[in-house]
Amino acid sequence: MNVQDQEAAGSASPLSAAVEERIRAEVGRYPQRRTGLLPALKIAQEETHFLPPPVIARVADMVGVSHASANELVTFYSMLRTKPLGTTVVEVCAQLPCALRGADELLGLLAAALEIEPGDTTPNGAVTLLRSHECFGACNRAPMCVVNDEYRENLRGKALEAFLAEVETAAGLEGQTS
Amino acid sequence: MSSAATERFDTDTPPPYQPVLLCHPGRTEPVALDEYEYRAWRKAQEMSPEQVIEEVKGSNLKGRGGAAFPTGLKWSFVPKIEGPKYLCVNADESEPGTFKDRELMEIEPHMLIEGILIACYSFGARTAFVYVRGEYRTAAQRLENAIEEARRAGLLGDYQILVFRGAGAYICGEETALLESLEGRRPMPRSRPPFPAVEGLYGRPSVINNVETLVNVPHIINRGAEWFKALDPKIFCLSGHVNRPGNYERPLGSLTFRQLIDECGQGVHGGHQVKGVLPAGASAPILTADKLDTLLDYDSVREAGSMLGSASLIVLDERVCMVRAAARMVEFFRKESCGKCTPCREGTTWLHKVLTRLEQGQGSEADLDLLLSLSDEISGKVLCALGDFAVSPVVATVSQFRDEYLAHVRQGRCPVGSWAE
Repeated sequence: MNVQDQEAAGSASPLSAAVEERIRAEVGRYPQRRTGLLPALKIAQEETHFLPPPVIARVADMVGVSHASANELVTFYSMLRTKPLGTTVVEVCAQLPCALRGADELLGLLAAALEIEPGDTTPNGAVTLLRSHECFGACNRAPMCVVNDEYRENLRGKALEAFLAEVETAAGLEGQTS
Repeated sequence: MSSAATERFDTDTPPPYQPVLLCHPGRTEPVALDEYEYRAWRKAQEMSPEQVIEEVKGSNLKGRGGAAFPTGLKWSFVPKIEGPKYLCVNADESEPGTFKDRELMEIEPHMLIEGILIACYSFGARTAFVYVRGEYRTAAQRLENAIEEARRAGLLGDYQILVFRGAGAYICGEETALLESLEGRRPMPRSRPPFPAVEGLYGRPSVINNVETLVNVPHIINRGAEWFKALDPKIFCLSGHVNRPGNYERPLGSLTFRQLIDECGQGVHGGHQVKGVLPAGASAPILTADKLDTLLDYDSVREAGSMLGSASLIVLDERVCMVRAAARMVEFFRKESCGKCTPCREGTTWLHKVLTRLEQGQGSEADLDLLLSLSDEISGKVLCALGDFAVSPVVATVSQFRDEYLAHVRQGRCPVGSWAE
């Protein structure tokens, strides 16, 4: 059912009133409303965690652009997600400067600790492990990863051990190994 | 100040360089408004806009985002017409090996705001957008806090500075893709002309300047064009196989690759030898160890066969497999190609495919010619620089490390193994 059908059927918006209010305010900040499309999609995603078609349609309607225009952005930007991910998302930078300082090894250790392949989510939905397409601009503190938008840098030695333990706990795997 | 400096050093040793931009070494918290004077902004407003442009022109400041276009000249291209004009600050720093704008925004947000205000004043903009890449949450937040501080202190007047966060796309650092992104469209580069100075954001005259470019501007206004011209400070991002990676500010042309690696980076990790240095992230041809005595300035690096670009130096030691390094860089460009131009979209996919099979020892000698021929089909045949960036790691490594490629073919495997650390 598309969003117009939902509205015709009296269905509620897939977004909360508070998020819709934030989107209205964001769109109003700019000289042209369409500039607010990308920020609006990001605000929606904070609440819905990924962007299924009804959410994309609702944001597009609020900004006043076609659903296709909003979908074009969702399918382009790596930070906009079309599929649900784990509660914790661990994204390892694997670009050259990090690779030279142990990024591939870090990714391998995380995959082994989580018992999944990069790109996958643990069966309980707790942790998703990703190999980043982007360089995060932390090459001076490599190897590094981003955990739910927070930078975790200089992952070596004791910091690495502590981090691996933390990720295992987040995945609910701690009990299995101890 | 000078006596203290000379006491600690021999008469032969020059005093250590005093950074102008990264002037708070070791600091982790942002410089707040009560620590920063908007002296240059006050001084600029007592000058005419034309005088500000002349001063920046006279300083010989070149764009620090990589293209090195003269900043004052760029501002002077904006037509003196009625209606809105825009400054768009390129803070989409995404080139592998580049992390200078992040530090500038995180530590010196007011220096950037002052540069923005002076730039706006010079060519008649009242609204500035700062396009911060989505991953730089701390930088964007600190910048927004600083803008609010400046606004409350009445420093912004009728100028508006809007922080706009990206969402993960290298192409947004390309200036016309950045404009498309700001307009709420897919960030695909525009065909030029028209150039942004004439028809930019919302079809209005616009200037796109890099963060590091703009932080130089207050110093030019405060201390004059001649002072700046003689100094020409630049931030070098040093990463890869060095003991102390980081941002180091030095005058352009004041030191060589070797000096930067040894004196700032404290040498190569584990006492290894340098195999090559990428001077501008993944985007410019690698220079081999015999070029380490090249001076770090735009002309010298170009004469040595590469480009200084944004001065993001990635150091590779002698244990690195060049085929694997090239494959890793091309993989990045394949994923970041926006897909608008067929040669780039299809070509980067093929380049990565061929490099991967070569790296795994499954390639043939003919693949080397295939790589060069594919590169030739991309270079110069696309709308933006990404295509040229993508072929540079390929052409440079195939021509300078041909024997290493052939060893992969002959041995049927990578003769090096894993990344050395």
